[in-house]
Formats: sequence, structure tokens, C-alpha cells
Amino acid sequence: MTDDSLNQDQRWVEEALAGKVESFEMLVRRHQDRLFNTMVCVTGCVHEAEEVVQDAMLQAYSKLTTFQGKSQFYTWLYRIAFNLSVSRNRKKRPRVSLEQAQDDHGLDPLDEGERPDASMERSERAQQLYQALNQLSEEYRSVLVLREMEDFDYETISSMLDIPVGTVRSRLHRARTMLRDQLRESIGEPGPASS
Amino acid sequence: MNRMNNPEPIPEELLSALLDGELNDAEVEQVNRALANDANLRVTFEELKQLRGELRSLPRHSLSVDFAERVTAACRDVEQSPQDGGRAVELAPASLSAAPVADTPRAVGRSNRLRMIMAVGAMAATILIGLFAINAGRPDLSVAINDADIDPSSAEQKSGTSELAAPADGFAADELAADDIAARNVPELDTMALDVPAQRQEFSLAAEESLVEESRNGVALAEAADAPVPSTPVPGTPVLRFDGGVPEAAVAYDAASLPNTIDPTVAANALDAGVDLADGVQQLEPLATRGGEYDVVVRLVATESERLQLASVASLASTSPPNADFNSAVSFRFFESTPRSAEAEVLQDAGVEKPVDAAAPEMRVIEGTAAEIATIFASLNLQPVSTGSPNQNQLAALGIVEPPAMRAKRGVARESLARGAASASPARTANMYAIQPSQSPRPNASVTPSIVANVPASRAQSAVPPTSSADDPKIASATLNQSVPQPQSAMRRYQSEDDVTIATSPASSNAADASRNLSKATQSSAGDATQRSRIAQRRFGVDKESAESGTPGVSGFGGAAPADRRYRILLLIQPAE
Repeated sequence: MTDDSLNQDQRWVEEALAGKVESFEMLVRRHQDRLFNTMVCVTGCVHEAEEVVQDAMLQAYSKLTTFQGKSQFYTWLYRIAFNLSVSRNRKKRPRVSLEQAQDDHGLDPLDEGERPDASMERSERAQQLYQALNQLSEEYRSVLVLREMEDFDYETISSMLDIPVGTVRSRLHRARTMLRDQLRESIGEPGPASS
Repeated sequence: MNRMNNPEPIPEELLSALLDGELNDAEVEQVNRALANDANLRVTFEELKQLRGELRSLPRHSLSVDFAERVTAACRDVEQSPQDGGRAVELAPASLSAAPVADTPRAVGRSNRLRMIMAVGAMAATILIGLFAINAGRPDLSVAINDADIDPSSAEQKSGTSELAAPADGFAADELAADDIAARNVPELDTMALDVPAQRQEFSLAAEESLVEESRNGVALAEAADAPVPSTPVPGTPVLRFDGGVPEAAVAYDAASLPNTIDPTVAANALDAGVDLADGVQQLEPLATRGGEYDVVVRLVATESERLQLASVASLASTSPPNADFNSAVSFRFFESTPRSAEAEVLQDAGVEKPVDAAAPEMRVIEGTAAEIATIFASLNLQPVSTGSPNQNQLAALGIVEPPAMRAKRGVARESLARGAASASPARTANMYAIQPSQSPRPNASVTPSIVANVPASRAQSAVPPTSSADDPKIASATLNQSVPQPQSAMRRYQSEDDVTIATSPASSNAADASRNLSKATQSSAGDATQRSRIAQRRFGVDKESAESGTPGVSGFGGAAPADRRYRILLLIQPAE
């Protein structure tokens, strides 16, 4: 995010704390989709992701006074959402697949206009990716999502997860290789070369 | 050697780092050389690159257009937390913490869940110590501190000290009087927790003459006052964090009713302060039996020795006999990256087989009664610490250890205690706590279990007492109740939650010696029972009536905790720099 964006976030936070709920709505609008897409990867379920984001936003609002601005608002918000997803994950809620969500609710990707067959392939591959992501443990999934979906650098991930940069690097690599192996299994490819 | 033809092998994780642009120039060159000479490596790199591309190309979705409006509408009914709860701990949303699984938000419609969340948002912030006192007022003390190995003949030992917060014989009369005042004015901690300003005022009356009260409340007040917390903890600085809360009405241990979350906002705030609770929870997940709920999360920056000592105690606790409750009192996740050790074997037995990341915070879940947890915490106090050490202050605030300022007053007494300990208990195993078996309560006698802390064997065996404060034993102990009859048996195994022993077979005979010496010491100073119990009452929140009526128990948690109340504590132990 640019400095202007960060400053804008801070201004909205301050205004929301002063009682201007509309400013919080601006924060929600700015970050909802980004957070939602990340949570889809984290939770593997569209419905759950939406609930997580909603709950996270409410939590963020109710606890906004405790946000001290030492991190970016989105980082703080992400942590709330991530922790919510962790707790939900432990309850092992049944999940709605992306495909089912698309069928049930017409949840369409933002980018449209593909050929139908390409769209189906893409959807199937995406589903495989989501499923493979869900097979990862949280410690690996979290670094992978933060890197690939949020494009955070190692330092940021390190500070967000409170792990050393070296651990970020090793976990990220491990997550990628595990994901690769999972995908191979899902499409019936031979086992991976040792890595 | 031609390095171009035989490039040194590289860790494969460098491939990911190269992909992410996280390598310096030298590393980039190194990896490129390796790639140029290794076809398999190139294949792997391409696979990772492709995978990365696919992940980044995942379809992007958007929420409904009215999502923000709906959230905002819900927000209008949510009260924001009070300003003074900047770092205060929040009770977990009822929907996430207190309800059994069947009542979790999932079972509730979306609108009901929103209402629950709104209701939670209106709940006052609590202070961490208050959570331990939720069950204040219940009987049964579970642990006390005994004077151990104090040479009865030594005049100086009358001001015996203890890392475990021993009351001192040497308290001046005015201090005792002050303690009395403080004790009488100490409010019930469960009411303390709910109103920080009132608590502050209340304690300002009670605590101004009591260093213990100040230190005990210092943490809570500092938290409530949104005291700055260093983002990078200095060695020894603990960051006490609360979890999402325990149901206030929790009566007994009930796995089904325990909350299953860490309050995400608490976790987020902790992250701001450099403490990642969620990660700790995640890493504990394989061992967690009830999710990530903790009564408290304690983060300590510990020296290597302290970590090893904790591991030692944890190992002893987990291998102790067979009380299932106590065996579950400590579970642990990581150890130092040492060769296979007893600790690692215990991990394996627990079904945990993970590589040790020496750089990662060491995490331990401590689950048990106040007595058991106090024992574990006491093990964190094994290093002589200077007055005012944050670890000591924080732990003292929990009522587990004696405040350093108080201990400093007994600097001389500590030496004498060490001398007494050294002469009284030869060949004790270092870092081992032996807890005497509890005695049957007698009428009008506060009979309590005791914690006897051992000194390092080398000192114990030496006939030469330590001559300086630097040689003080790591641990000393003191008794609160001088009417404890002499134990008839040697160190007994753990039988119940009121009767806790951590012992290993090699030490059992030594423990027996310690036990006998302890009794001797305790009997000799029977005259100080009243003073001690008074101090214990104030320090540990022992209910005065229960103490005097013979109902043993001291929580070590700033409140009278019931013996059967189980707590769950997450320790994040960061190696000291």
C-alpha cells in the first residue's frame, strides 16, 4: 500500500474512533475484497471466508480502540481474520467448495469473459489448488498465503507471524513443495522427485 | 578446484527465496551457478515458479455490494471498548468462548451471531489477574511455600527468603502491620477485574505501603493503563497476555465447555506488541486437546539455562507417576535442538515428531491446578535475578513468587538460607522441585503442601556455604505454616491435586532427606505461623478464614483458587539474545 493509502487508513481509523461509523465503512470497503480472497485461500470455503471477514470487521470495529497503529490497519485486520479462521477451522465446519458456492450463489470471479471450456479448466484447477492449500497445516499455509496472496515480503511475514526470516524462508519453500506434491497426487502424477 | 564445474550444493529453500527476490547478490549468483549445473534443480525451480504463478492467478472474488453497509449497520450497535483497555484483555466473545460446541455461532443464525458479537463488544475489558480470581472465595488451597532447609539454629534464617515468595521471619513489625492493612483492604479479585478505575483507587489505598500489592497490581494496572509494551522484548521481559477468557461460571474442568479460541483481537493486539499468539496456538494444535483457549499466555524471554530448567521440570512432570491429571499438567511443543534426549522421547511418546526449530519460540502448554502451575512457574525463577527483574515483577504480580524488592530486603537472609539448604540436603538433583505431600488438615491448623526447591547439587554437597549473593541458591523455599507435622514418609508420588510431587527415582532418597529436613525446619519456627499465614494471605490471596480454619490452599495466582480448578497457560519462551 502506498503511504497515502496508509495515511488514509489511519485517518479513517481516527474518525471511526471519534464516532464516525461511515469512516469505518470506508475501511471495510477498501479492504473487504482483499481480505475475502485471502480468507478463501485460508479457509478453502467461500461461505466461511465471508463469515470470517464479516466477523473480523465487527471485531475490528468493537476493538478499534485497542489498535495502536504500530502495524498497518490491514495487517491488524488480517490477524483478526486469520485467528478467527483458525478457531473456526478447529471446529471443522463443513465447507462449501468454491464450485458449489458459484453454483448456489452465483459467486463469480471478478474477471470474466473467458471461453466456457477455459473457464471450467481454470475453475477445476483452482479447486485443486484450494484443496491442496487446505491440506497444508496452518503454519505452512499462513506463510504461503501471506506471500502469494498478499505479496508481503519476508520481513513483513516474519513480523506478522513473529517468526524469524529464516523460518519464513524455510516454511515457504516447504509449503510450496508440499503444495506441489499435493497437486501431483490430486491429478495422479507420479511421486515427486526428492527435494 | 574449479568452482564453476563443481558448485557447492545449495539448500533448496534458496530456490524459493530466489523466486521471491529475497536473496542478496552473492546468493543469487550462487543459486544461478547451481541451477546452471543441476538439471533437477532447474526442474524444481520451474515447478515452483509455475506453482507460484497459479496461486497468484487464482480467481479473485468480491463480496456483495452491500457487504460494507451491512457491516456498518451492525457496527452502529456495537460499543467500542473503553479507551483504558488499550492493552487490557478482553473477555472472549461469548459466542466464541463460553459456549459449548453445540452453542457456537455456527449453530446460530447469522443475525443472532451478529447480536452476540455486538453484545460482546459492549463487555468491559478485564484485567488478566482477574481471570484467575474468577473462582475466588472457593475453599481449598493447593500449594503453599515451606521454609526448607533452613538451619533452625541460625538466627539469620528467621528472615528466610524464597524465590517462591516466602514470607520472611524478618519482616519488621510495621511491615507486617502494613501487610495486614493491605490484606484487609484487598478486594476480591474477581470484582477487581471488572472496573479498572475503581480497582486502581481501591488499590491505591491498600497498596501504597505494600510493595507486594504494588507489584501484584502493577501488571494489571499497567495493562489497563495501556502502558507501552516494547515491541521487541528485552531479555526477561514477559508479556502477559490474556486469552479470550474463561467462562466466569466455570465450576469444574469440563472439556466440552471450555472455550476454543483465542480472542482474535487480543491476538492481534499482541501481534502489535511482537507477540504472536495465533502462531503459538497453531504450533500447539497437534497437542492441543481443546483448541487454543488459555487462561493466560505468558511470554518470557529466557536464557538458555532457564529454558533448560523449564524443560527439565516439564520432563519430570510429564514422566511423573501416574496421576493422569498431573501428567497432563505440562505439554510441550518444542525443545532446543539438542540430540535426542529424554524430552524428545517424551515428545515422541506424545505423538509429536517435528523438527526442532531452535529459533522459534519455545511453547509450552501448562495445564493444571494452581499448585501445579505454580510449580512450573517457580521453575522459571531459577536464575538469580536482580531486583526489579521484569520476570520477577510479573510473576510476583501473579502472586507466584516473591517480589524482587521484597527479596532484596532479605539479601543477607538469602545467604543464610543457602547455607542452611546446603548443609541440610546433600546431593539433591539440581532444578528439581520436590513438593511435600500434603498433610491431612487438622482443626485450627493451616496444613498445606509445600514446595521445596532444591539447590544445585554441587552447592548442596559442599560444606562451604555460599559467601556472596552470587552464590545464592537458585531456589530457596520457605514455609508458611509452621504447624506442619513432620512428614512420615519420604517424598511421595503425586496422589491428588492437593498432593503434588515432582520427583524422579534418583532423587527420591534425596527428596526424603529434604522432606525430613523441611519438617525439622518448619517445626522449629512454629512461632511465626501467624505472621507467615498473614503474609501468605496477603500475598497469595489466601482467604483469611480458610487459612485460619485449616483449609489449606494458596493459589499463587493472586486469588484463592480452588484446588480442582484447572488452568491452561500458554508459555511462549523466546530465547534471550
